[in-house]
Amino acid sequence: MAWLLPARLQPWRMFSTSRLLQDEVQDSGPQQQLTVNFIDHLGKKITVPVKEGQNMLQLVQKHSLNFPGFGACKGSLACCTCHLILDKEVFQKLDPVSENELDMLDLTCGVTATSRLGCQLCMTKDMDKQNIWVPKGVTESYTPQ
Amino acid sequence: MAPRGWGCWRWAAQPRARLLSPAAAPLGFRQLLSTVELVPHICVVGSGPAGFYTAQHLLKHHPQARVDIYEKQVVPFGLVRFGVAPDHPEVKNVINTFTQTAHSTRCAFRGNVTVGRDVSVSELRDAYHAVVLSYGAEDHRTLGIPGEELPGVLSARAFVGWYNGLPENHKLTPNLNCDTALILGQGNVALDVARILLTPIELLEKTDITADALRVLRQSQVKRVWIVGRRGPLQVAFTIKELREMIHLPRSQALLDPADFEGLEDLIKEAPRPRKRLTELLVQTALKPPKGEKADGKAEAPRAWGLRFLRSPLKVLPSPDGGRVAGIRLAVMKLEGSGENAQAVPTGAVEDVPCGLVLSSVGYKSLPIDPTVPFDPKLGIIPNRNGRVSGAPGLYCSGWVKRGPSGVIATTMNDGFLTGQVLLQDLEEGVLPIGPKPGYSSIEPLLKNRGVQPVSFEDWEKLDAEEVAQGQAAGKPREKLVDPQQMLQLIGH
Repeated sequence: MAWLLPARLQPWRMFSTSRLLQDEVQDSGPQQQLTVNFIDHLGKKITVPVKEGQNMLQLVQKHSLNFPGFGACKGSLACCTCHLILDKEVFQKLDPVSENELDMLDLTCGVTATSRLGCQLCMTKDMDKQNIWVPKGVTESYTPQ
Repeated sequence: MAPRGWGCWRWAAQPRARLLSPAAAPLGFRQLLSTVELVPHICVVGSGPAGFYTAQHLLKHHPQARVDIYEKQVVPFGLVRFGVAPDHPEVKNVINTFTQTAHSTRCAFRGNVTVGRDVSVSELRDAYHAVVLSYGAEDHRTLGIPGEELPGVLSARAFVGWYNGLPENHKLTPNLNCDTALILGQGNVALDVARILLTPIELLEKTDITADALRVLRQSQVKRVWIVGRRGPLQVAFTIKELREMIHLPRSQALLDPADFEGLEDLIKEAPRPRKRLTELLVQTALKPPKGEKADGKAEAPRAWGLRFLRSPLKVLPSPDGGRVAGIRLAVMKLEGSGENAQAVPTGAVEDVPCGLVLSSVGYKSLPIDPTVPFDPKLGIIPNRNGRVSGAPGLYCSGWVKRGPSGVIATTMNDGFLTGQVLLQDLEEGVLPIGPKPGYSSIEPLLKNRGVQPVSFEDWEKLDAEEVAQGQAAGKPREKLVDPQQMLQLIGH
């Protein structure tokens, strides 16, 4: 039903390059209550209600989830601190990741094949009731030696 | 000196406790102590990302800890202000989170205080329960070649400091009256410098680059920038985002020799994704025709940048009158080994490249802060285990001075959190002194007697407002103040 949303909120249009944090998703039309489970860096599970199209970084901030250092550059694709890891099946159902997001993911500590940046990731039905891991920051990150 | 010791401080413990050291205290007694409200006073030296993120962690995870952040500059934020390029303003958004930390009632910024000169590390260790050294890397690695002292040879660090308004580099005023600049080093700093040299001036005018830098860059004659590395394309240290910015530089073309990239695509098939994507982009760019060769002709791209590989500097060549740089002699290298650990060895051949400006961008370097603090001059770091300074209980380090000068802000952020964690662990386990400590109240009179006037965060906010106001007039996010005396006057010091 995502195609019924106003153009700027349609998930596939959101994965554009160098996108800044978008505005709060408006309450437009009938949307079922979705949830997502953040597994924080200490392994604790936090289930959070979310609307389709909601930006993940914004969601984390809205619920004051306080993951350490999360979203340092305020969603401007200039850092990698909003790193999230998805389940493989969920990841594969999402739209392809933009080059710009991949560029920043390449700098990320412990990046995986199913990593995304929270500031570029928006809620889809496929993510409903799924787990999203917030990786623990590690000292090794990809810095070319 | 203010009286040290137990008497006047907020501590409601049994009198017996004062006479026992943590080591001697039996376990049950330590449990009693842990229910007593101890206010740990912690001192952080350096207000860049390492200092602020360490402070953030401490304040977040200890409900009573008080953190004082000392900074030798008048203004906070370290390389976020003085290192990040003016055309990367989003990277500076971290300042918002640092500002929040500084606004905590348990946090105090103390600028314009040079630890190691105005106050010693020993004095800080006496006053605080723990001291964290996060003062980064204020120097640069030298080339160690003849001619390095000639006018026209600069460290990239100084050049960056100059266009970013670092007071000590204010008078650098580089001479840009030459056609060709050559940068030694292939990291992100090298690309930043190249990009600032080649970006059309009208694009720089809307950034927070200093007015002085704009004036000099406006008159720059530099048309070509070579970025030279000792090793090959597979060992470049810059990252893909910065490479893309070079490729998309308006009115500049990339000069990459396809021969340098032959056979690379096969070599990187099994490489980690970041290296693979970076190399693929390099190869792609090298094999594309130069931007200028379109219908409009070469005039479209009057400026150019290029990467040269397997070249190591031997000697800077002076002009006939010996007055400045005229070129550089490079040793032709070959690679032994492969991947990240490949080594460059000389072949015996040399190549001379004419140029009027040489910028060395071969790494930043930390310096020892104080004779009492251990320092490893070879590695350029403070010897430590997980942030605990070796042989110095109560002394910690975080950021570049702990791990070496590489990595992005996120790397330093994680490191700051790790050191913070280790410190709090030590606090909890009774490794740190458990008695009350005076904190800033014993440092304040010391500084006063020495004629040092610390700058508070509120003072910085006045300067910040002034910079933003001045910037508005020029259509810039801020016009940086570069004269410390002027800054101190503005805040009434």
